[in-house]
Amino acid sequence: MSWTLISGLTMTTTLRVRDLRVSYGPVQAVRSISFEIEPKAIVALLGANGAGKSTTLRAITGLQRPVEGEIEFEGRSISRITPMQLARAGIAFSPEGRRPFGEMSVLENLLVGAHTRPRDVAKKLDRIYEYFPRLKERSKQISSSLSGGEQQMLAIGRALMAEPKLLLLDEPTLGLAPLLAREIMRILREINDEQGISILIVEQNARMALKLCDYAYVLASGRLTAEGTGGDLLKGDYIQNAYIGN
Amino acid sequence: MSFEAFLIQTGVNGLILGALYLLMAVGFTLVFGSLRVVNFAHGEFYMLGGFAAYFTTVTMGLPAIASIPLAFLFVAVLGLFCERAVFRPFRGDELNGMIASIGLALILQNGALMLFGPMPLAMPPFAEGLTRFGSIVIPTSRLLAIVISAAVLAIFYVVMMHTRVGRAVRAMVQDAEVASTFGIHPGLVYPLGFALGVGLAAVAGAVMAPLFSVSPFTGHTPLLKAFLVVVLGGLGSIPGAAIASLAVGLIESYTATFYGSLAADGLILLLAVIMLVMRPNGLLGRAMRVG
Repeated sequence: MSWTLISGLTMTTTLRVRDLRVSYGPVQAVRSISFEIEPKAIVALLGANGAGKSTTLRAITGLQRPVEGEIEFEGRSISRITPMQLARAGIAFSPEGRRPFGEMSVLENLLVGAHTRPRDVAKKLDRIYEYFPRLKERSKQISSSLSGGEQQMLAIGRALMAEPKLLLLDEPTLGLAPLLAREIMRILREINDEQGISILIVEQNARMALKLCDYAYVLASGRLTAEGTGGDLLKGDYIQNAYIGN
Repeated sequence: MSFEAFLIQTGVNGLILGALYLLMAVGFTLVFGSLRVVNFAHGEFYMLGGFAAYFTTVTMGLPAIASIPLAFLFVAVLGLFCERAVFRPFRGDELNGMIASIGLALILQNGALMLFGPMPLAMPPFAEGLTRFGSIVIPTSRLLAIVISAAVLAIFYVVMMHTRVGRAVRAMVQDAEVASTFGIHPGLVYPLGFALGVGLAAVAGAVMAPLFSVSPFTGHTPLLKAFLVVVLGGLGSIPGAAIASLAVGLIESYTATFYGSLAADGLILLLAVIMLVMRPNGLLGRAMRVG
């Protein structure tokens, strides 16, 4: 599936995952899934705890080597990518649990995000502070002293500093108050609109993710059980099935 | 010598010891943080720093001040080699990494014994003469030892806190997995952390060489004291290490002067035991993750 432009050129799919299988020893966490992310799209990967969502993300980042399958980013295979090559390739990752560098200030965390692209740091910082004014107020503060919501903003900001074309977000609203979670979602939409960054978001909070995303895939026990636009899935009972079981 | 001058002289000696322990403890902590290896060979790199200083100044006739960067460079390069040959096979294996470091310590010490013999070598001081502050008189060589140590620690601090490389090392120490997704290579940071850490030990060895002596056996005491400083200050805490180093240096100097060095060593070990019982994470340390 690719979008044909008026000029006749085809725009390559941002991310294409085919027949991905990932195991931890004898445990099969992901059993052959395939999905795609079109350029500038927000795609959600939904499912209950242990469905294989985070494992899929870890396979894309190179943190977990897949047993089988093909992962392509902008037409090039990244199935054997190492995490160290990720940022340079144009993918940034906000991990589950946010994981700020706890003994560093907010500003230092953001600077580490720009490790592979240290040019125009001031401009990039300004833009991130526009999305997250709270981070600017706390820029000198040690990141472990931030609230959960602020740490999430920092994790997203740190990822954006790498100037990615694809942003991978693992459970960005986990443990956040609903109001704050909605605020994060709103800003993600803004980032997507303004910068054209594709986003792959893994969430347990299905309703909120479906409102945000253009397209979603539902995972259960390591398999895809449903897919569709956010609106379609919100109407159906796929989600309930995925979380509660048939 | 008046009693006051005597007290001040003892304090200066305490500061020198404090600077020595701090250089050792900071390097030791850096190696532990970046490689997760308790480096029992750290004292041997101190010893080699002393020999490097001796050969550059006494044998080659270079100025004393040049011996310090040269000792750092020589030992840092040796550190790169040791990291590659000894520690890389045990990456992620803390226990065997530690045992390998004990082996490395034996090799380095006995290697030095074979090459240089057991006799302690004496090195001339950095400078002759005395420096006067009003009525207080301090040997210039001792003052220089403190100033040079402070300068090296300041440079180290700036590199770690305010450069891209320093940030990368710290990020790797704090969360290797996340740091790697931002393009920071563990394969570069591990050798760098080790080389810098043992380089600091070499600086300590070079600075202290004129004050003490140079022999294959000089590494033991600084290593032991670095351990104690790390226990007292908290592993991984640089401010904790700074406070603990100065405290240990001053306590040792004053106690040794008035009650003998046996009492001084006993008192410091007692303090370490009390700290382990009362505050196992040290003065400013954070909780340690085991395994």
